[in-house]
Amino acid sequence: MLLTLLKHEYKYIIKSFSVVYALFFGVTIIFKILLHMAIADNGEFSNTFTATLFWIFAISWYVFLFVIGLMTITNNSRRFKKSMFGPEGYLTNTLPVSTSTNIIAKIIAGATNYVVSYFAVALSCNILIIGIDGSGKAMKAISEGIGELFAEHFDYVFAFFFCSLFTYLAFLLFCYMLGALSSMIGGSKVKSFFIGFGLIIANIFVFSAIITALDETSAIGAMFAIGFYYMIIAAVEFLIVHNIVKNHLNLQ
Amino acid sequence: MCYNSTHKQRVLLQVQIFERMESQRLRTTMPDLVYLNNVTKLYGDKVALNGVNLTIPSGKVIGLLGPNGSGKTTLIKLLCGLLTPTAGDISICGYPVGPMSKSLVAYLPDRTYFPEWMKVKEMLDYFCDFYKDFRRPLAEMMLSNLRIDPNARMKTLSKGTKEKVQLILVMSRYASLYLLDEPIAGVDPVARDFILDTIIKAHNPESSVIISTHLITDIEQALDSVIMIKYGNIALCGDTAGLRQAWNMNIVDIFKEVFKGCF
Repeated sequence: MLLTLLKHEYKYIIKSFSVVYALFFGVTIIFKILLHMAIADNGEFSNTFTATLFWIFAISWYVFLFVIGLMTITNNSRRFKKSMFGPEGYLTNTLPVSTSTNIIAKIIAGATNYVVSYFAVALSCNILIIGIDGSGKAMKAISEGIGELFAEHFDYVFAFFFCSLFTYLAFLLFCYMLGALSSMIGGSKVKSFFIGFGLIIANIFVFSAIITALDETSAIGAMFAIGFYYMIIAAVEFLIVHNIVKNHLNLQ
Repeated sequence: MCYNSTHKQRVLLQVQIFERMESQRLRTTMPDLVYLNNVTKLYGDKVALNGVNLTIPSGKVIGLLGPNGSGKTTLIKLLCGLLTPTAGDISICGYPVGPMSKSLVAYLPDRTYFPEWMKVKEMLDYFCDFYKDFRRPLAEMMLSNLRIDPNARMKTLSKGTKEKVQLILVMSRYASLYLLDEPIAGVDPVARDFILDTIIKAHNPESSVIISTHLITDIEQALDSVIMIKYGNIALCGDTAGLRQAWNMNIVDIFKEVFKGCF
C-alpha cells in the first residue's frame, strides 16, 4: 500500500510543480541566451531593451530559486495538513493503511520533492554554465571543483548529503508537527505559533552547543554530528505526529 | 449383520450429533459483524459514549437514531477508525479497528472530502487502487445515469453533485459494513430519493448498512433495525417490526417517546 500512496503523492507533486519547473527552465534558457549576448558584447548590451530584459530574467531566475526552495517545504507541509486534518482527512484516515505508512509516504514524497528540486536547480546552473568562456570560467571552475569533490572526497559529499537530508526531514516534520498540534488544539494559530517559536529557540540552543563542542573536530565529523542530531529530532517529531494522528485526530 | 446395522446406526447418530454440535459451535464462534464491548469515548471531561455494548449482525439496514450531540457521529467515527476509544474494544468481522477493518468498511461522512484538484475519473482510480472490492463498472454506470462527466474537476462540481459522486463511490464498494453519516440531511426530496434508492440497490446484500440520521420519517420504511442513542448510552435497540408491535406505534412516535424532553 505504501507504493500506492506514493503514486498518488507523486501525482499531486507533479501537478503542483510541473508548471513551476517548466517556467523555471524557460527562464533559465532565456537568461542563458541573454547571458551569451552579454558575454559576446563584453558585458555591454547594444541597446537598453536587451539590458533591461537581461536584468529582468536574471532577477526572475533568482526569484525562481527562492520560490522552488520555499515551495518544496510549504507545499508539502500544506498538503500534509490539508490531507490529514482537513476535510480530505475523512478520506485519507479511513484508507486501509496504517497511520505510520500514511505519514511515511508523505515524508518520502517530501524528501523526493526536495531531491528533485535540488537537481532541477543544479541542472539549471549547468545549463547556464555550459559553453560560456570568459566570465563563465569561474563558474566552470566551480563545476569542475564539485566534480573533483565527488571523485576524490566522496566522504565529504556523503556527510553533506546525510546532514542536509536529515536537516530537511527534521524541518519538514517540524512543519507537519505544527500542523498536527494546531489541529489538536482546535486550529489555534496563536498557540501553534508560540509552540513552534519555543521549539525553534530550543533547537538553536542545542545546535549552538553541538557546534561549540565540535569546534576542534573535522568538518566531516561536524556534518555527521548535525545529521545525527536532526535524525533524532526527526524521529521524535515523527512519534509526536503519529500519536496525534492515531489518538487525537480532530478533523475540521 | 445385526451388529453391523446397529453399528452403522450408531455411527450415523454420532455423525449427526457431531454435525449438530459443529454447526452450533460455528454459530457461537462466528464473530458478529460489529462488536462493541464497553466502549467509552471522552472529549476532555465530556462523555460522548458511555460504556456502550453492542453487536450488529450481517444483512441488516440499521438506523442509528438520536438527537444532535447524542453520540451518533462519534460511534460511526470509532467504527471507521477516525477516533480511538478512551476505553473498551471494537471489532469488525473479528478484526480490531485498523487497516484490515478499514478495508471492510465503506464510510460516507457528513461532508465532502474530495481533493479539489482531482477529476472524477481520478477519484475512481483512487478507489480502485485502495479498495479491492470497488466495482468500477457500477460506479461508471451510476455516474453516466446521472450525467456526471468523469473528466470534470471536483472544484467545478456543485455541492449536491459532489455529494452524489461521494455516495456513488462509497456504495460502489462491495463492503461488509457501510457507515453512512447523515446521508439525507439538507438535500432536496429528489436527491433524497436517489440517495435512498442507491443505498438500497447498491449495497452488498450480505453486509450491514448503518445510517445515522434524525430524519426518521424519510427512511423508516428502509430500516430493518434501529439503535437509539441518548446522551452517549444505547436507549433502545431492536428490529423495527418487533418494536412497532411491542410499542404499538411507528418508529417516529417511538423516537419521540424515547427522546421526550431531550430537545
